[in-house]
Amino acid sequence: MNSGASLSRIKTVLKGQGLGILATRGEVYPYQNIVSYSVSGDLKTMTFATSRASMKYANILRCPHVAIFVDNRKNTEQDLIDAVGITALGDAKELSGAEERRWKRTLTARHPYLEEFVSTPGVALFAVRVKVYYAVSRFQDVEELVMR
Amino acid sequence: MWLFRRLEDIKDTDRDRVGGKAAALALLAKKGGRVPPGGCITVQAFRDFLSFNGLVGKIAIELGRKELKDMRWEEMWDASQRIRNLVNGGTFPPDMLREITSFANTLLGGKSAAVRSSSLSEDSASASYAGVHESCVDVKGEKAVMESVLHVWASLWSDAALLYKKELGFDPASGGMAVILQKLVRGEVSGVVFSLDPVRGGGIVIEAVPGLNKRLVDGRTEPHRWSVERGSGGRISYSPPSSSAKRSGKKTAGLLKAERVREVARLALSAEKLFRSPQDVEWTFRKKDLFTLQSRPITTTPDAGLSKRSVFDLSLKRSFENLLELRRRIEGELLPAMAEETRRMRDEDPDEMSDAELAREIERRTAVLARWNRTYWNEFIPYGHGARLFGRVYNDLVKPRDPHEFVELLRTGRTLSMQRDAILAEMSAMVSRGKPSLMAVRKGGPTGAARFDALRKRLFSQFGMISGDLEDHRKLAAFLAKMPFGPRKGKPGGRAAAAGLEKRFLSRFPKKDRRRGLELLDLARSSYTMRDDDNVYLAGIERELKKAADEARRRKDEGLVRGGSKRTLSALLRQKLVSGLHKPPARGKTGLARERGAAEVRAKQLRGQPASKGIVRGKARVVVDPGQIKDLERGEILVCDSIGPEMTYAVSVAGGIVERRGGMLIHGAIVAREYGIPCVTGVPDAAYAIRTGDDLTVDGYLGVVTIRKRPM
Repeated sequence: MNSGASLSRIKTVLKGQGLGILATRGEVYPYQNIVSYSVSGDLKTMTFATSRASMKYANILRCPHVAIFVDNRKNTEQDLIDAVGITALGDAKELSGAEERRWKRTLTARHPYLEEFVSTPGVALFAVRVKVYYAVSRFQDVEELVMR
Repeated sequence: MWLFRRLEDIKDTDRDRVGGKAAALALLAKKGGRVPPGGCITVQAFRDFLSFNGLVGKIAIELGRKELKDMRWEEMWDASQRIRNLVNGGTFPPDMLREITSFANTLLGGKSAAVRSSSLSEDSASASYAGVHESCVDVKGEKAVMESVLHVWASLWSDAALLYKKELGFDPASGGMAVILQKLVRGEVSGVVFSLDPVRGGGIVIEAVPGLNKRLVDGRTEPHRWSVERGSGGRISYSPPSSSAKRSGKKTAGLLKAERVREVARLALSAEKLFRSPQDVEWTFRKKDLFTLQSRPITTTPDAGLSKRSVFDLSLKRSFENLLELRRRIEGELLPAMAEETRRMRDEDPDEMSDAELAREIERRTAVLARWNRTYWNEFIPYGHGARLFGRVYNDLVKPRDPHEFVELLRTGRTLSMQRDAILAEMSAMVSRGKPSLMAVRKGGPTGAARFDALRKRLFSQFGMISGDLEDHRKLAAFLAKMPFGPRKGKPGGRAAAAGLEKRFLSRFPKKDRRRGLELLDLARSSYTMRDDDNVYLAGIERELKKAADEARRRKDEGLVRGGSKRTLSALLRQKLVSGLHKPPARGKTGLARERGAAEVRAKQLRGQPASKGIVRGKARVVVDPGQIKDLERGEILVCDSIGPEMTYAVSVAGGIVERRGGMLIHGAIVAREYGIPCVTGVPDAAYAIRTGDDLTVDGYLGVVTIRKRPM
């Protein structure tokens, strides 16, 4: 295991994919959705947008602790070895003002088709301050990247 | 997509479907060569079989346990056995089975078959893969033929194939395997011919043995050899096998008359012309007819492209007969000689020697250790293959779900370290009852408990553990205070389970062959036990050299040596073998790079090989220097590079074991299983990624180590 190579692998997966599974805390059960995300260069922040009417929006208001899962599987048996799955754990915060404008630019640069969606008044932009990433590769090798 | 094709129907363009060997045979037959009739089970059939049995993912998991470049040969052998078991346990899709058996029955008509590998990468110009994949000769009956097909398929991932892939940088999952099914031609003389001498170049080399050439190919019979000058009517020179060199030259040379030698040479040259490169051709004579069994390019030597270490690793695979001979030598000559050598050294106290005598003694002991180290690598390590050989036979006959089930049959509970630890356990129980007191043990000298003193004496005389040094007595007292009372035992019911497995194994032999099964089991048990015992013997010799070196170092440090003796002793202490006794081993070649200020990726869960079953949670104790083993507390997880002979006495207190070195049959794994301690081996970064005090879970079923928490 090599820290540099591991870090670069995590970056490659996060930058290479655009969609992830967002898990929020429901009243009783966890709740999951596919979201379009972008990630900052230092990996400390992930952003996504959602309608304020959505269940995930309500869940985050109640509890900001979220997880985002991103992977690069190709739906073949070789995925067991070749695919990397990354879970980011952190706290989501709704953005406003200059911060919102800056991150909106980042998100739409990665996902140009979202431009109209994120400009809709009913849509909130969230930044997740990532505390830790867990990367699973080769079926059962797990690495931890603690963000400081 | 076709699953089967007769040799005569294979076209030049079919190589990607039938592999190199089958394509070559088909071409030879087409050009008028005499090739035994047969056909080819294509690579597509192999792939369909894997998919039908859901094996693609399972094999990917096996091969993905670790990067091939980080695997030792022992780990490759283990992985290849697990894959072989998966393949052997598969079933043929019904249509495929019908197609193959229908052809086989028509072709063979109840006679024997030859079932040969023909992999996609085999017999290409760059890599011949000679002897890497399996071929089965003289296979009789539909069931045996189909089993042989499975063995050939599985050999795409044989230990030798994985080693080649590692050295050539190929993806271990790559490739495909076709199988050639031919009517066996029972020749009177068979052999191999090289159209160009693979070692010296120049002439043609012919090797031949009486009967089938299986014994020649697997190295069991030394061949008769002829060198023939290229060109018609070239001069022939003959070399008999060394075992028959003293016999009449006329008689041995008669295995092949000059006319037949030339016929074989012509065959090689025509194959070379046909394939446009020097060829290595297997052939057989049945009466007057010369048959070509296979032809492949000569890359260079059989070990071409392999490192020295890999060539050594592959040389470890020995035949049953060779292992029996090794056993006779090890048990009858080598072990008694080692014990005697150690006893003699123990009787010579370095404290009482003059400086010059001490220098001579260090020199002598260094030479003794060097000699036994060589013996260890050349004879003891190869003897360890006895357990592997048994494992392969057991798995082929019994077909267990767990490919390492056979190891349960080999545990005897009678290893030397277990005998030593039983002594320590008894002493520990006595100390726990206060008879004798720990204080009395620490002081050395008679403790007032006669039994205790007698056991302590045995530790010295049999294992050389306690000298007269007070420090040794203090260490012993500290160790006895934390040792579990009573020897640890393997998993409950182990003996009954082993008896059941033994019965199951022997029942697979026809009654008349059961004796051979028992002999193999007996050999394997001895080989398995020796993997621990040889370490104890070697440690005894190391200990005596260290004793002398320690005394020299003490005199030097205290300024007691002067002039020439000082220089001599200093030079002796700098010798690699002597200084190595005090140096900690490497922590492993890889490791987590610490990048200051940068985000740091740390291992959370590490994967190795399951080496001893069970799950345990405990605090890590990382042992880099064998001397640190004394710090191991009861129930802690021992994390180390490998369990050296000087560490085994303490292992019984460990709750679990994590080793960087990998393998099911390495010394550490054997010790762990004997004590029933969960163990994972082959974790590349074990001693670096894990820190003393980390909260670990060791899963000896899956071969996974999880770092649950790290201390702040």
